[in-house]
Amino acid sequence: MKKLIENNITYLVEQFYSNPSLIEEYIHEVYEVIGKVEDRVKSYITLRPLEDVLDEFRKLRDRIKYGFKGRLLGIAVAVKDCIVTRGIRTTCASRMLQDFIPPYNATVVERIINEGGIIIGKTNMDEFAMGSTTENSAFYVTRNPWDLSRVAGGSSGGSAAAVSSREASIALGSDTGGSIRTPASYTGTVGMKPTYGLVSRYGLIAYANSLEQIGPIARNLSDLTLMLSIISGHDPKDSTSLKIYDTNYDRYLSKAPLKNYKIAVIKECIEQGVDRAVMQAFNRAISRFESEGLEVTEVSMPLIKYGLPAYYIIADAEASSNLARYDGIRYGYHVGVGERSYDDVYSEVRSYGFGLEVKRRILLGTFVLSAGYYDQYYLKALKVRRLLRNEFVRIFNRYDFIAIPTTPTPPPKVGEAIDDPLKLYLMDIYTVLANLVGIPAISIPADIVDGLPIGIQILGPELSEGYLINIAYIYEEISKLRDLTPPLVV
Amino acid sequence: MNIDPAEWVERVSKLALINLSEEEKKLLIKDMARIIDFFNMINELKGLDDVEPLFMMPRGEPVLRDDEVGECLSINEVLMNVKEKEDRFIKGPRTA
Repeated sequence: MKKLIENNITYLVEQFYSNPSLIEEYIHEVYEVIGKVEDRVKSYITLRPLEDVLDEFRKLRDRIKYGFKGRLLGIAVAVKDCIVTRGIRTTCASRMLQDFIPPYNATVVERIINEGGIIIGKTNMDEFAMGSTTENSAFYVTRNPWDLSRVAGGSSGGSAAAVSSREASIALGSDTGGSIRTPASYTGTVGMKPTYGLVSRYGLIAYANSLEQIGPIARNLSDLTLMLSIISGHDPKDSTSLKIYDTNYDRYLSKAPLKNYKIAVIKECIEQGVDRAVMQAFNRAISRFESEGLEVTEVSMPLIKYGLPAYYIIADAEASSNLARYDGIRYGYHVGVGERSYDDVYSEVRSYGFGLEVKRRILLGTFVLSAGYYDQYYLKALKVRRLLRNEFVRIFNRYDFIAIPTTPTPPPKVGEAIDDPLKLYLMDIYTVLANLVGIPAISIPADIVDGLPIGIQILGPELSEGYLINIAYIYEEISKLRDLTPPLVV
Repeated sequence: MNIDPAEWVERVSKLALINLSEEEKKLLIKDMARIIDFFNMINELKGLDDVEPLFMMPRGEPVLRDDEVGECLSINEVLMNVKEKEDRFIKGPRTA
């Protein structure tokens, strides 16, 4: 018999209404899977005890009796550990926050709970979301359920691995420069970085606040669309939140194109430095689109190569400022204050609390913001950002979408890239663009090559999430690449 | 880059108030020059004098909320992660 966990969320929720005791069975199933695979995959930093989750189920069951309705009724949701959860430890995979218990919920968490969703745990990530492989976690590496010798991507690696291996039905990640889309690509899941400002960042622990957004990682478009509909929309607690109130994207799950779509492929993104397997999957996806009658055109954007250095300058600058809050006095890693000076205490806290990559980015950020270098690096990077944004606007005047690979290579082996920071940064070359210019982008499985899933990334203009869902759904329908099952789970 | 990497790490870590172990210094020095060279790529682009820097995504609407009293955390909740406190006060280091 098909396990409950294998079903999509909308179907599950319908079943749960007519028979709430099924929720209990489902929760046991999820924890059984976790018991089987978690030792090897390491998706979670904090997993709630089964008893606590069952308690929550019982309360939920009582509320159902009194007419409670929720679009995530009883659904096990995993949340990246940089999104605060009231009463549940939130570490950012850092020693700095290893015993931090938030006194409040992020807005996205609040919205999930209001819909009856059950947060079952907090997922592993690169420390403070700085990384592309989840190897920068202060605790342990998350492994790819498709091949345990490989990484699951990052920085939302735990969220993607949990969803892929059925340790949760759906997860939240955060994406500063590809941290949702890269792990989605590596694990055969779908992941979306929404338009800047569509999803509230209230309760998202900041790394680079002008770039990042929270978004869903799911096994299929239907689940992703549901979660996006729930977490999107205006939040007065986030001053960058857009005043958008209609966030029901269901109608875009249509097998027919809702417009006469034109797709642009950026020539510079497929010309060189892309792995053979990635190219094979990408070409397969493009020919599938063409066989559906969609128009695909190659366009040139020479400026694109400046995106990656500009991104790292801006992200590091913002990080050096955002991470200045960790003084260990109000929360986080603490050293005895005694009669010591502020600089002394502060330096010691930062030296112990942060890992190497975080320190590296703080130093680089401090440097590009320092007197004499500010104009040359930081300001200039922001100018490049403006030019890139203008370029994207120009392309979107003529095309509905841009299609490019999500990452230039398949998931690397654990340990293969971690010792070379530049090699790691290069993994983000195609994902940082959407963050720099504030537009939405989705990664969906393009194909499976040599036993590994490989993603294709589709970008659209600001607030085109609906159409992105539509084209991704069309692809899911033709390719049948949905609910992909990694060998580990079989 | 013309700056000596070891000197660079020394100077910037002081500026950033981060103490580094010898091992960390070695690892940071190893890649620092390459990363700054990578940053320097953007200096190939000329004629940017008139380009307006893009700090945040442009917004066409006011961003402030109404100043209304709402629910907020209790003092106990706010202080729940503080390790050194006296009554309702947080103990901090000397600032002078």
